[in-house]
Amino acid sequence: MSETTSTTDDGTDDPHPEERKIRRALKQIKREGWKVAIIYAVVDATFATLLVNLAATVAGGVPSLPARLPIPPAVLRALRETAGMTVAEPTVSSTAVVGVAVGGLVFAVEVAWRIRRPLVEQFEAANPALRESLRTARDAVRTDRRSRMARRLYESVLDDLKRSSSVGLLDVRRIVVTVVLITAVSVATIHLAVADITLAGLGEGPTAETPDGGTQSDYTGLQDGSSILGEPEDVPTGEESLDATVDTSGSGSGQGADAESAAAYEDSGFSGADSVESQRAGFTERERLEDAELIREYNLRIREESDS
Amino acid sequence: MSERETDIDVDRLQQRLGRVREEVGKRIIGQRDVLERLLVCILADGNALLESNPGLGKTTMVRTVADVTDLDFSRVQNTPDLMPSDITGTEIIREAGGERDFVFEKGPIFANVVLADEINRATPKTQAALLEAMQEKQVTAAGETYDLPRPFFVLATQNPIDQEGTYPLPEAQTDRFLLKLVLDYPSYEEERDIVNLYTGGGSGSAPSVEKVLTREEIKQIQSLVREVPIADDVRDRAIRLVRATREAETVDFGASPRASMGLVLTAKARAFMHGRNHVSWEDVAAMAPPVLRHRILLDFRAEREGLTTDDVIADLVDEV
Repeated sequence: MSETTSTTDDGTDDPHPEERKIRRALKQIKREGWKVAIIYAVVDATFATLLVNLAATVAGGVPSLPARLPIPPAVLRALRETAGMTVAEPTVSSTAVVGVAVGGLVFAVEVAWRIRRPLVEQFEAANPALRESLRTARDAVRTDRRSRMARRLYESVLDDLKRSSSVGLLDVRRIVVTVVLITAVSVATIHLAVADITLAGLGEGPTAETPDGGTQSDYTGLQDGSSILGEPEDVPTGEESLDATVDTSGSGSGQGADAESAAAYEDSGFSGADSVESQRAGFTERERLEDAELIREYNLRIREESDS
Repeated sequence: MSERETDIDVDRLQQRLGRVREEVGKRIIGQRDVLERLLVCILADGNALLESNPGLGKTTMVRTVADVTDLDFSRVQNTPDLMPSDITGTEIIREAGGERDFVFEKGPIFANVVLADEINRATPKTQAALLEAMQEKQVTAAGETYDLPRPFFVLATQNPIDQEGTYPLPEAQTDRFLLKLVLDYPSYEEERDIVNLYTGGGSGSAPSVEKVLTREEIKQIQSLVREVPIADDVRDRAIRLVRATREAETVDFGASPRASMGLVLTAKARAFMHGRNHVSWEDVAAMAPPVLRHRILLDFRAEREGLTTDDVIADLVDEV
């Protein structure tokens, strides 16, 4: 039996074109398997990164790590030289670093796990109609079988491969579910940043010692009322009654004249022996000062009339 | 021959096999599985042992296969007084021109298809001569060796009943048969069609059939069958199946490596006949009972439980 030949890419005659095509098809199938493994790994790694970031934020940071980690100078230098970027603040959030690290680990483990089973076998499992013929062709190519029936098998397998798809390798439902989870975790992370959700006493940001001995939160974002004013508490009611006489009430003044208004009040002679420290009225707007003066004049006249 | 021509050739041969089944079906009603396996045996260049009660059409089936395949056919009715030379042939003195010469007179075994009817009624010596010829594809007489015509098939029959005065084939002899085919009674509808076909109008004789496959084409097919690729895992599973017969608790005597070869080869032939270019496990599973059933002996416990060899083989097929 004389066999026809075909010309290869490098111009030489190929006595076994079908065999070469089968080898190429097998390589293509392996590439498809890698793509699928990477798609799964990327989706799962993204989910893991966001989940770890959310958990670390809720827990108030990563234990035994500072809130922000310095970016290595080599990285900064590389950024500056390659992308022309200059980072103003050469630090990065530790939660982000841990999240990315966990994501990278998940990516590597998932890819390794997905390709542990031969990729062609995965393709065969996804295309059961092709399984036996493709496996037979694979074994035949491996053992260099070049009989008439083997060549017919190669041709039929190549025809079948044209009608097959590697989409079956992807569990679309699983991918969709993971994407939904990614969206949910993303929304939760944003919500946590805006509304400061606290879970089981967690959620208080890391504090730093201030020069005057107090503490100051590193968190510079929006805060709710309780974080500014502190926790509400009940004030105990006293049992001792004290009489207090208030001869007069102070007048307020606008902003910027605190010292003058206090001195004027003392000079007015209305502060008696039981004088109490005047309290300034909370006038904050200058146009209402005239009203305050008017009230003061009325008060003086009423007192003069009552004294006379 | 170019690749394109080879493709057409293979397709044409596969179509011819379909025609053979159609033609045989004109005479044989039902028994489709048995007919398929008989053709598989021919394509695998093997010999078959047909077992059934009398009157189920064993002889008619074999004769019809010979008729549609353009093969020489001969029939040997085995009896206890049948001598080996009655089968293989013998030297006789022939006078020609006043001279007497010893001339080898070929026996009925010199045919493409030899039907050895009721082989278990022949003496062990005659059986051995027949089986030796079957195995070696040649006959030796008076110091001369004569090749048997190719293709060459022995299709032997035996009845499972009426065993008195018979000489059951020893296991070593039955192992030489590639397949053991068991014919069962036809269904009611099939039996009605058989009665109508052979008792209806016309001469009442068997319907005529067309020769659709030459002996040269059979040889080509036999060559192509051996080239059918089989996946390593399917081949290994077939071997495990045969080996499992040696280890099964219900089996006293398991199948030999010859069974492994036969199982793979018949699976290839079946795949070719079904128009496939590769062997599937379905082919192996289908061919396991006829390949193994005459090669294993059941343990007394299996027989006590009423298990047949086919039951045991079916279990092993599921297990491996």
